[in-house]
Amino acid sequence: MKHHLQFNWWKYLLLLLIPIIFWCTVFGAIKKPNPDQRVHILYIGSNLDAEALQAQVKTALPDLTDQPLKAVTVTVASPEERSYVTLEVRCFDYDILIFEQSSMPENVGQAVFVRLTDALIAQFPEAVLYQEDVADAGILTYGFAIEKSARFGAYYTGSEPCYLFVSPRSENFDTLNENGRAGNDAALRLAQYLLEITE
Amino acid sequence: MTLSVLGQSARSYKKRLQLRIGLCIAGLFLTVGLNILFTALRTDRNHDLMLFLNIVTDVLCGFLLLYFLQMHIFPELRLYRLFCRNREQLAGTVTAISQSTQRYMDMDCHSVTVNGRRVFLPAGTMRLQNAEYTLFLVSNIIVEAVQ
Repeated sequence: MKHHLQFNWWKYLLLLLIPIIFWCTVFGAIKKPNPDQRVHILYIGSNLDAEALQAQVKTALPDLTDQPLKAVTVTVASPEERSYVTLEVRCFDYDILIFEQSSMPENVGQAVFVRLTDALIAQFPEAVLYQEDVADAGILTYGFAIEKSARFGAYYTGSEPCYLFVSPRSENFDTLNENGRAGNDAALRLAQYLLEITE
Repeated sequence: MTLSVLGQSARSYKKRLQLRIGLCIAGLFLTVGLNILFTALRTDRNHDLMLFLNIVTDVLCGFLLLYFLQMHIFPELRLYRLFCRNREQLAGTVTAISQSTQRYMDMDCHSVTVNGRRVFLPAGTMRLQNAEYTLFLVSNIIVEAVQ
C-alpha cells in the first residue's frame, strides 16, 4: 500500500483536481445569472419584433449603464397568460413588463404592480403616465404609456397603445423601486431608452 | 504436484478477472448515473449542494477505481497474460529463494536460484522449497512449477 501510494500519489491528486475543475465549470455555465446580473423584459401581446428589440437593447445597454450584466432578454408571452397571479409571479423573473392594450388586464396596476414613487416618475420627465383611479386613494401612477414615436415603437408593428410597467421585484432600478439596489440602474436606463422619443 | 502462479485454473482465474472488471464498469456507470441525477435535480436553491455531491461522488469513485485497478486488476491481468505466453522449461534444484523482493518487469518478485541460474518468482503467488522442480518460465519469471 505504501509502495502504491509512493508511486501513484500524483494520480490521486489528478483525480481530486479534475472533478473539481470540471464540475465547477459545468455548474458555473448552467447557473442562472443573479437578479442583479440580468435584465429581462416581458412583452405580453403580439406584433412585436422581439429578436430585433433584444439585439438592439443588448447593443445599447453597455453605453447606458456601468452595471455588469450576464443576460439581457426580451420574451414574448401569449395574451392568454395575463391572470393577476401569473403576472405577480412573472414580476420575480422580469424587470420590465410591457403590455399591448388588448392584452392588459383591467386595473393591472393596482392588482399586480406598485404605484410609482415621485423619484422614479421624475426620471421620466417627458413620459406619458399610466394612471388608475384607486378607491380612497385617488389617481395614482403605475406605469407609462409608450408613445408611437418612442424607440420601442420601432419594433412594434401593431396599432394599439402599449404600456410599460416596472416590476416591484426588480433589483435594477437603483433605489427607486421596492427592491432596487443602489448602483444597479440597468433596468431604469433601459426603460428610459425604450420610452425615449426619437425623431 | 503442480504449482501455478495463478493459484487456480486459468479459466476460473480469467472469470474472476472479468468479474472484477465488470464491477469496475458497473461502478463507473453508477457514478455517471449519480452525476446525471444530481445535475438534473439542481435548482437555484440547491446549486451548491448538488455541485458538492457531484464532486464528492466523482472523487470517491475515482479513488476507489484507481486503487482497485492498481492493486487487484492490473497485477492479476499481468500475471494472467504472462501465464498464457509461450514458456521455456527449466528442470533443476532450487538452491536459494530470497526473502526480500525486487522489482522485475513491473512486479514484485523473489529471486530464485536454480542450477546457478537466477529466475524470478512473483511475490505472494506460490511457495517453493529447496527441492527439485521442473519450472516453466516466461521471460525468466516462473509461471508454473512441477515437483
